[in-house]
Amino acid sequence: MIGPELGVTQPGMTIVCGDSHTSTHGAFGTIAFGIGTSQVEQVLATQCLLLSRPKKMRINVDGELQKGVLSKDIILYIISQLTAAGGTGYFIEYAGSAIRNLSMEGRMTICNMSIEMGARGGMIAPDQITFDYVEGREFAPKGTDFDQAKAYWSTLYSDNDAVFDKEYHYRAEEIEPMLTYGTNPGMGIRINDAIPTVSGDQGEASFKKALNYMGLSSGDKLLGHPIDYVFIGSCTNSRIEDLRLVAEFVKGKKVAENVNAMVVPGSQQVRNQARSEGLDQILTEAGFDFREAGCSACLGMNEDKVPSGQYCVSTSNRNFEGRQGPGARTILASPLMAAATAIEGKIVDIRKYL
Amino acid sequence: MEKIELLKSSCIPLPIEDVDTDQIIPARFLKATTKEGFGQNLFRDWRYHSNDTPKEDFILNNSIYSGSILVAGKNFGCGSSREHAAWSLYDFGIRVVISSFFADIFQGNALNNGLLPITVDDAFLDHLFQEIEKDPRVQVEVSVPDQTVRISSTGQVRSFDLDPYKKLCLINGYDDIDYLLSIKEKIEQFEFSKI
Repeated sequence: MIGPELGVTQPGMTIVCGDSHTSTHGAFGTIAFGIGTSQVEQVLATQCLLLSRPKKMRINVDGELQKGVLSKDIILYIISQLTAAGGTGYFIEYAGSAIRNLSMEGRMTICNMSIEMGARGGMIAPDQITFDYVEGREFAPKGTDFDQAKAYWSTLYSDNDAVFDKEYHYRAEEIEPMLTYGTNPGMGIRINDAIPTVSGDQGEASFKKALNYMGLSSGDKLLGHPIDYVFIGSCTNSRIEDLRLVAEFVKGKKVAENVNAMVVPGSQQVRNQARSEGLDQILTEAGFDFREAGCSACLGMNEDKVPSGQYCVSTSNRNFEGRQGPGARTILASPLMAAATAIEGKIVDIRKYL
Repeated sequence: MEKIELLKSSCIPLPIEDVDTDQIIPARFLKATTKEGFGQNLFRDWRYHSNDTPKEDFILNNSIYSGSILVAGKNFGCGSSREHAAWSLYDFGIRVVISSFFADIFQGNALNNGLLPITVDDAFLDHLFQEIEKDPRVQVEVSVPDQTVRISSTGQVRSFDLDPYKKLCLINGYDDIDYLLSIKEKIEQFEFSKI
């Protein structure tokens, strides 16, 4: 969250951190990936990291997104197509007109979830949208230094004849609001799809175990499913743009009585910004709990947990068993889908409001 | 780091796919500053009820199964980069994990902590699960120098890939920092030539 906000994250950098969602910084055209504690020690002691060269994958999304479909839906859709292990061993470049048209916030959401398909990192070539975002931030280069930096950043794109080990093409029009139904982010469906059936030895047992944990069955649709919790937050979707979208949607509406809904800004800066724009008031009046900045219910490390057996529509990145608390049932979705669910108390298609 | 060269042990079977690091060690147990003691919370929520009584049907609570080799379904260790996942397996007494596919970060973390991830083909993995089902005491022999894994009951052998550098580290108990510092001059020369 704060690297980009402060202008510390700049195109062309190599960024590592002991957090698998370090891939978020890839949105700026950086090589950014998560490492383990021993590797952090390695970097601090030697300024180097021993790695084997990853394979290259490009994912192209072209066309116009439907109204109400956000970058979160794009990445959940991609992961549902490639599975939770489909990117293992690769670094990904996201390309295509639908990606180019995204804001930096939207791009960060995409790159953030690269690891959810097993890829260490995902990146997007920097362009004018990137430069405009970085310019003027606290640690960004100033004056002629900025012009020089920008000239260099403008060279950071894949050549026309670049070769990738794997390449995928998707149409933006095919993507609908997405939801997960299982216990890994690859288990996702479009809102109007039914939960699929899986057969075949080991895969079938794991699939059944996941559905059993979620209290769902093959053939079910998630549309209309009652929900107990809504969590809007995490490094995937808690930037100011996310909070503005949610506030705009819930303004004048009320959270359903059966739902416990919270909004957790990703950083102090986002929290302060939201307060200065009056978003906290709109959210509180609508019945959301507006919390202190942090990771919160994304991984249940503090008291923000979802009770066992209860359903939570969450804008975070992992629907693993127990991720939001022992027994908690997580359904991943976009901030708009989460907001609409909070208002109705059950899963709805955000597009009916638009 | 403890050396690992030859190992002969019975196995603990976990025929589940996509076992993520939140299952291996839930986030609420990450608040420690040393690598020791994580074993008691390994697979915490699969292993214990919320009142801390053991779940009878989980494999680690079944005394028939024991040993220092964990055999798991594909895409083992997916999810977060927490190295605690490798530490908790190691602390529990696991030295080798056999699967048909490992998540990237976990694989690196394991190797950096003397825990050997062995990737085998699906057929061998299925065969191994079957042999363990037939006889929970079946012995599996792992040789790091030969890069082989052998099921003693049927004699089936597979060789496995292992980065030559990591192999050296495992056999000798080296770590990456020792190696990098030994070539510090070359690194500085490279850096100088690029700036």
